[in-house]
Amino acid sequence: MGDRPARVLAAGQMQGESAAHAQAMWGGREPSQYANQGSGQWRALQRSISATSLRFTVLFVTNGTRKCLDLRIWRVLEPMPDNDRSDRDSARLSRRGWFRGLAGTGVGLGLSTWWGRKRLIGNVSPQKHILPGVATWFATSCRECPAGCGMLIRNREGRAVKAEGNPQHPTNAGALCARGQASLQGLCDPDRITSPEVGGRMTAWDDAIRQVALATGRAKAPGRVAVISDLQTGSMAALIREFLALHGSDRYLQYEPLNYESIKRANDRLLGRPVVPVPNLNDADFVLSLGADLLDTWLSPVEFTRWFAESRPGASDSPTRLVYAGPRMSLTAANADERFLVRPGDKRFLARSLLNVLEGEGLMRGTLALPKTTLGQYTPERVGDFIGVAPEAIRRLARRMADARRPVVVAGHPSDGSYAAEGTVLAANLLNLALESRAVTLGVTHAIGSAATREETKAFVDGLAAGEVDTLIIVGADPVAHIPPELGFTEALNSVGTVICLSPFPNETTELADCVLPIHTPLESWGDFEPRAGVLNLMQPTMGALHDTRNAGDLLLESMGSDRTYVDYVRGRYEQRHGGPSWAAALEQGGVWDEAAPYCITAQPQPARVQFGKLEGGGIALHTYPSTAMYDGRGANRRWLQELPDPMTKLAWTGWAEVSPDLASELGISTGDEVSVETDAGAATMPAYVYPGLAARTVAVPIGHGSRALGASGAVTRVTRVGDGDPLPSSDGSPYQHARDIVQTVALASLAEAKPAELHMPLPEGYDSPSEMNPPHDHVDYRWAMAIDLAKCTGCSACVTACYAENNIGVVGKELFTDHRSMAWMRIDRYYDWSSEASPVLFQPMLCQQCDAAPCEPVCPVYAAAHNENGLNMQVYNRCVGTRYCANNCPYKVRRFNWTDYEWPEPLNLQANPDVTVRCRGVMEKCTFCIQRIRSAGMQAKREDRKIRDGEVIPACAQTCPANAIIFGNLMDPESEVSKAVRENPRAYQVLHELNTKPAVFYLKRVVADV
Amino acid sequence: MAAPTFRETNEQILQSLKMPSRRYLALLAVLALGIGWLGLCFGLQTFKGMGVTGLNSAVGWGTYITNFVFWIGIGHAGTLISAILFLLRVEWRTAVARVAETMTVFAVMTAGMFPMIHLGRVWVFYWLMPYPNTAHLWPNLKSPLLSDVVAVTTYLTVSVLFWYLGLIPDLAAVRDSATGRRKWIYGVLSMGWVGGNDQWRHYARAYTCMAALAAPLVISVQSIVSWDFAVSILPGWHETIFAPYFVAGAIHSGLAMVITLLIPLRSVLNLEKHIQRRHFEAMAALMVFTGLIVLYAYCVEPFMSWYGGHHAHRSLSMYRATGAYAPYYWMMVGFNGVLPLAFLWRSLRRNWAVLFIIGILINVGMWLERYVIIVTSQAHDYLPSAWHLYTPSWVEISISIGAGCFFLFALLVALRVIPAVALTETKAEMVEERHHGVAAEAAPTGVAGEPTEGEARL
Repeated sequence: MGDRPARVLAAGQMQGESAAHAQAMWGGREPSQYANQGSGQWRALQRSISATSLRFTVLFVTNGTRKCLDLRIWRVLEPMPDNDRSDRDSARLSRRGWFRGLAGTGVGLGLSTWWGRKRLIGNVSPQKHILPGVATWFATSCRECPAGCGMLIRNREGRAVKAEGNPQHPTNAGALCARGQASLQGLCDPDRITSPEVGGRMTAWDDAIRQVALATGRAKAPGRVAVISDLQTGSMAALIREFLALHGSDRYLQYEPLNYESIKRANDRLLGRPVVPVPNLNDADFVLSLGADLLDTWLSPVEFTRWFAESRPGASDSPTRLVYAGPRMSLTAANADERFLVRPGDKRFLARSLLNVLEGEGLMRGTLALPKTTLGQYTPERVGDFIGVAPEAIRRLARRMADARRPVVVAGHPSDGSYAAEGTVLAANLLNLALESRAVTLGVTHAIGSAATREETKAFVDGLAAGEVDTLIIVGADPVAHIPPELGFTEALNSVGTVICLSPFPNETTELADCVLPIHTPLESWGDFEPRAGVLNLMQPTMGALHDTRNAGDLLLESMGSDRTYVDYVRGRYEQRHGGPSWAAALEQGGVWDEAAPYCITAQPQPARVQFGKLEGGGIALHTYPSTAMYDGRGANRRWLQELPDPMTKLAWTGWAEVSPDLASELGISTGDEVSVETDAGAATMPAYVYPGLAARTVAVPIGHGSRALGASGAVTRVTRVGDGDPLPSSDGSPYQHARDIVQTVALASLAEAKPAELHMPLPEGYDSPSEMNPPHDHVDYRWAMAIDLAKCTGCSACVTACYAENNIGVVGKELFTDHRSMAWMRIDRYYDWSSEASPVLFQPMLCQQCDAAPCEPVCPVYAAAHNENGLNMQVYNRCVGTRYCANNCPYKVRRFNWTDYEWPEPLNLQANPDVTVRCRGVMEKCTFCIQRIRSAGMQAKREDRKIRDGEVIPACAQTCPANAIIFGNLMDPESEVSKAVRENPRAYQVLHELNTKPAVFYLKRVVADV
Repeated sequence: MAAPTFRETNEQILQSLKMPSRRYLALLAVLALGIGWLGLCFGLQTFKGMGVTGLNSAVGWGTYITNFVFWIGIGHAGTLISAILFLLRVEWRTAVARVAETMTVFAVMTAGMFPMIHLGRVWVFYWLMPYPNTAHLWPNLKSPLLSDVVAVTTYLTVSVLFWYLGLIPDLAAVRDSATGRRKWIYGVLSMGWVGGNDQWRHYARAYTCMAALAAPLVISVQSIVSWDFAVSILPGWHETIFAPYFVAGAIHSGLAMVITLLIPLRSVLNLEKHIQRRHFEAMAALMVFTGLIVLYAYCVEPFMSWYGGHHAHRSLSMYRATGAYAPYYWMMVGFNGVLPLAFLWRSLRRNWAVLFIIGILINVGMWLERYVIIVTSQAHDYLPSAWHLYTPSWVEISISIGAGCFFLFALLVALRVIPAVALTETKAEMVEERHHGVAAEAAPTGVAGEPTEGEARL
């Protein structure tokens, strides 16, 4: 079980060997055969774990209570291939026989017959690289958004069971966001297309390919074949172009709903370069974000979150200040040091006003010729009055930026390509130029820049509508859903001869396609992805194909008559272009990245091409934004993401419309009401959430929750209350702290002389006998503890999903979620304090505090809640009878009760972690600091006759934290990171320390800094 | 008017053992349906999981535990009346003791169902019992839930023994007048009672001893039940006043239940002659006392949470009085604390309608008291982010009503097979009265309110 992700090199070595084999395994052999075998082994193992958990129950099983037991996992078993009878593990088998005997008497013959035929380990000579109980890690690239983070997939017994960030990758350095964590659920999506469909009928691959060949062959003249794909770079983009060239066509549309068009257009106008740069914030000391939600979803959120955390005042030697101006209190706004809530179109006025002040007060660096005539109207007084910001605040901000060593302004709405959005980016770029941070801002170009703009899309669609295309091939994209309806894509499809859709999932486009070919998900595919210049991610299959699907690349090559496979194509391209590490080595590493990639685009700015319009705006403004869980909507079928409460609203399993309080009171809307939001583009009905974190008269709607009909940001024509609505699925209790000082803050100015908080150490030294009811705990070697730095934590909630993935946490669904029966072991508590200027929103990851004097332990009548020798509050699932007293008595309310048996629709059950039992109904469960990881490291240490090293055990939450806010380790080791954080950092405190529970989770106070 | 003879008394009391009327049987049938519905709902809950309740991650205990505490409370009046008042030689207890004891036995049984019903995995309920097993696992004696198991089973055992002991001479009396199979059954149940002097002597001693054993249990059971809450750390639960507060509340609700049940029962069973107005008056007077204790506790709770100074405790007190459950809170204060003060007036103590209505309202109030204590503390504890409300689901309501049906069913059946008034004790009193030449209630006509026929004949 020694499978720490930290040992990526080891994993890499294992896999380096595997790289060649992998090709044999997936490239050469029939994948489904392999998949079945793995599945059998995996299930057998899972069954054995369940069997152990039933040690107590099996004895007393009778037919009458049979259903009471969690037999569901067993029932889904299909017959195993009759493997050669191995007596390899005879001890185990004999115990199994004993079990069978018992089960036979009690459970019934039917159960025991199939039980008897199983083998825990199927083969006499197991598959190479598949050691039962030992994980293999495969490096690949995350394709959940264009950021292209490096990812490692943990493969156990042939199943991809966990996604983690690739620690060597420059973008994410080991972390992943919630969507990255949930990428596995794309692979195991129960709704995947499993067989080719032609004309709505399932068919065999041969037949489908023949039909496709016929269709493409039917193209009457050159240039009458077209391709739409999602964002593709490198090999896939090249291959598609080759394919089109073969048909004499160049009709290729890369469509992404979030295409950052405003940035591209603004850069085109100002610099003559239609690019989307990745801003280099690394050495910035002041960042102004004009609506760019750097920490939510913007361009590369994991990377920016790491930057943010590392540059926080109090945590960094060269601290940064972040100021946000935008219509909505997003994660970025909430974490910023100062924020201005201005209406959606008003950010550009603020930026121009800042320019006005810089210009007027002579604070500009260098010589930038600004269009003075039109800039003159943007005095702070006029603008401030218009957008509702104090003129003095605008002046102060401008001076502060001028004072900064390296100020950076970032802007650009991901989906809004309007004139106003472009204007914001233009003004931001002018600010950058005025402050000479141009080189900083125009960092390396991002691949998203190659996604089509609205104009290009329109031209493409018009071509389709004009009947210029006979065969349209759609690879991975869902244009019917994503292309704005006013462009008429759906109608244009009628003018296309044949629509062939290559997609792993059913979507609105596959509904309309003539031919649907199921392809691998990215985690099953070979490929490469180049999110930005200098970073090339290589992708390899992380497990055998789950269904009878093909790689999109293979299909294209086959249709081109090539005898090469796509992996050859990718490899060939790699070897042709890179003289660096060998293909195998690069694959092992997850790709190649050039640290010294240029961070500068030189282009002559032409400010004269910028014209500033009038101060204008009015009516009810609509702000759309990609939500952290759904992004553009591609997360909608991932249960982990649906169940993940939105960091700000704490809503899940629903879309919603945030309504500003002034508008709500004007229209008589209260939270939970059903409202209809209408724009010129269309109307949508959704529940309302009255959100004080919105600019005046603004409605904000997350993209990806069925709000597509509304179009991009702009004006709302009408918001009406249409009904009372159902109870909102919210995980929120009270959104306020009620003056309880649960999330504590400290001002940066007073940090130096701050007195450390009183701590009750969960160690013998913290034992104060007169006030204790129970004897002290003696810990052997380790006392596991955690420190969570609230100055770094942004509330992004990646840890929550990581916890689901690692610990097989049940997904309860909308109804139970609404009833507050979410099973999340870890949650992000979010508290509002709208009266606070500095920190109106505070976040706090809340998980089992592993108290030394745990209130849950003494009240359990059957010792199911017990303390172990390393200080953990264990929860013995198979001893628990479900009194729920422990949960009542837990002041942190982190225990979760299994209210029912939760569904694991196939094949989602395959992605469960085999190291963790699945709990049955009626049992209490909770965070254990990922005890399976601790045990695994402990066994490794024991084999090597040493202690567990600091940093060797990383719980799933800490592992994925993009902000690196969670430190885990041994509190008994004075040299451990966590010891130092707790004992030496004056910011350390314990939540509800006055209860003397002596929690082993310490929080480091959030630092509030003046701008 | 001549005092009734032993034979007349026998006949008057034993006539309740005759075949009941159709309406009585129909009522039993309805109650049986209620019990069947309970079974179905419990089955659903067992196989679907506790998700069919209204409980959630914040509020883990709701209606079931409320019912548990409520029924245990109801079970207090019986032992109080039969044991404590017996030891104190309170004369009026004789008439109501048997019904109260029977009520106690079935109330405790009803209560005992709920800890099991509320378990997540009821099929392993026996893990709560200490028993030798191969895994060498023993229950956690520190847990108040285990004390509950011990306290409730002890209380049930002692209550049943005490009840049965008192029944033996009466069962013998039934046997003597019974025929056929009934004679045989009552013969076995009366354990060879012939009424010899030795038997009477042993019986009297045993009864006194059992009374002495049972009396402390009245205090201990509800105290231990209250520690389910007081031992925890939740605001509103973690209070030292809980044991006396709960004991007084239990007796309060138990007396109210006796009054509520006896008013209709005495006429249904034709026992007006034996269960008289003055008995109710005495119980009502006792309820003024218990009501005052409860009212005191209601006042002390918020004071202590303010005086203690912890924000969570203060906040909870405010929440109880003003939050989502405030209507229940004020109903509880009004019904349990204020309303019984009406019994300070003698005329109200003697008014059947007032007695009955206040009795019912106190029962409602006492149920709400437990509900408010249990639910509000969990719904409003330390971390505001985890505050959630609780509303019982239809399954919980069904099971609660079904449990009430079980209680009534068992009581109504029992009162048709055992003498509803303790025969021997009644006769003993009659002897005593004759010896002292005292006509009970010598001048009932001098009292406000017309004496009933039964009273006049006495």
